[in-house]
Amino acid sequence: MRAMYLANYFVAGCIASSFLGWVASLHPMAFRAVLCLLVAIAITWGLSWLLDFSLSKLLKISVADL
Amino acid sequence: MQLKLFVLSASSVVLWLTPLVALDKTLDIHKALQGVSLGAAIACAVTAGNIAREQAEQNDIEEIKTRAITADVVDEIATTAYISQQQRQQEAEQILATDERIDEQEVELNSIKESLELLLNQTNSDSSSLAVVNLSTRQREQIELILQCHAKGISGKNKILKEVWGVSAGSSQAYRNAKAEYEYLMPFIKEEEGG
Repeated sequence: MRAMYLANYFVAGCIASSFLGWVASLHPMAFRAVLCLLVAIAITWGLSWLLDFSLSKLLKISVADL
Repeated sequence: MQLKLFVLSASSVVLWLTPLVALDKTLDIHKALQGVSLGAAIACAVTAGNIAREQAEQNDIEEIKTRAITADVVDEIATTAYISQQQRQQEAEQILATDERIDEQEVELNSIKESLELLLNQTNSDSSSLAVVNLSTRQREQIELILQCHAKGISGKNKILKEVWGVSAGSSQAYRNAKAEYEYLMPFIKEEEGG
C-alpha cells in the first residue's frame, strides 16, 4: 500500500509537469512564464543541494530528519 | 476502499495520457479538453495518493496492534511458564523438606530404640530384684516361712510343703499347685539365702 501511495504521488507530479507544458503551449508569454518558473525551481533545487548543511544550520533543522 | 483507490489511479493515468495522444492541439476545444483532463488527472492522482497513504497508516497501526497482542500472548505464556516453574520448585522443596522430616523421625526412632534396648538390658540384669518387687504379699510370707523352715533345719521339699502350704505328698490338685508355687519361689529363696 505504501508503494501505491508513493506511485500515485509520483504520477501526480508527472501529470502536473504535463499540465505546466500544456499551460506553456497556450501562449508565448505563458511559455516564458513557465520557463522562468522551471528555471527558478531548478536554481532553488541546485542551491538547496549545494548548501544543504548551511541551510539546515540556518533554519535550525536536522538533515537526518528530512 | 481499495476498489476506489484502483479506479482513481487508473483514471488518473487514462485522463493524463489519452487526451495528449488522441486529441488535436490545433483545435481550441481539444486543447481546452486536454487542460481539463490534466486537471482532473491531477485531482484523481492526489486523491488516490491520499487514500493509499491512509491505508498504509492503518496497516501500520494494525501491524503495531498485532505486535502488541503477540507480545502480550508471549508475555502471558512466559509468565505462566515462570509460575509453573515456581510451583514445581516449591513442590520439590516441599518433597525435600518431607524427606528431611522423615530422616529426623528415623533418627528419633533409632534413639528411642537404643534407649529401649538399654532399658531392656538393664531390666534383664536386674530381673530378680524386679521379680521380688513384683511378688505378692502371700508369696513373700511363704518365702519367709520357707526360710524359717530352713533355719529350723527342715530341708525336704515334702516337709516344707507340709509346713508352709499344709499339703501332704500325693497326686492331689492342691499338692501340685503348692509344688509348682514352691518351685517358682525357689530362685528367690536361694537369692535370699545367698544375699
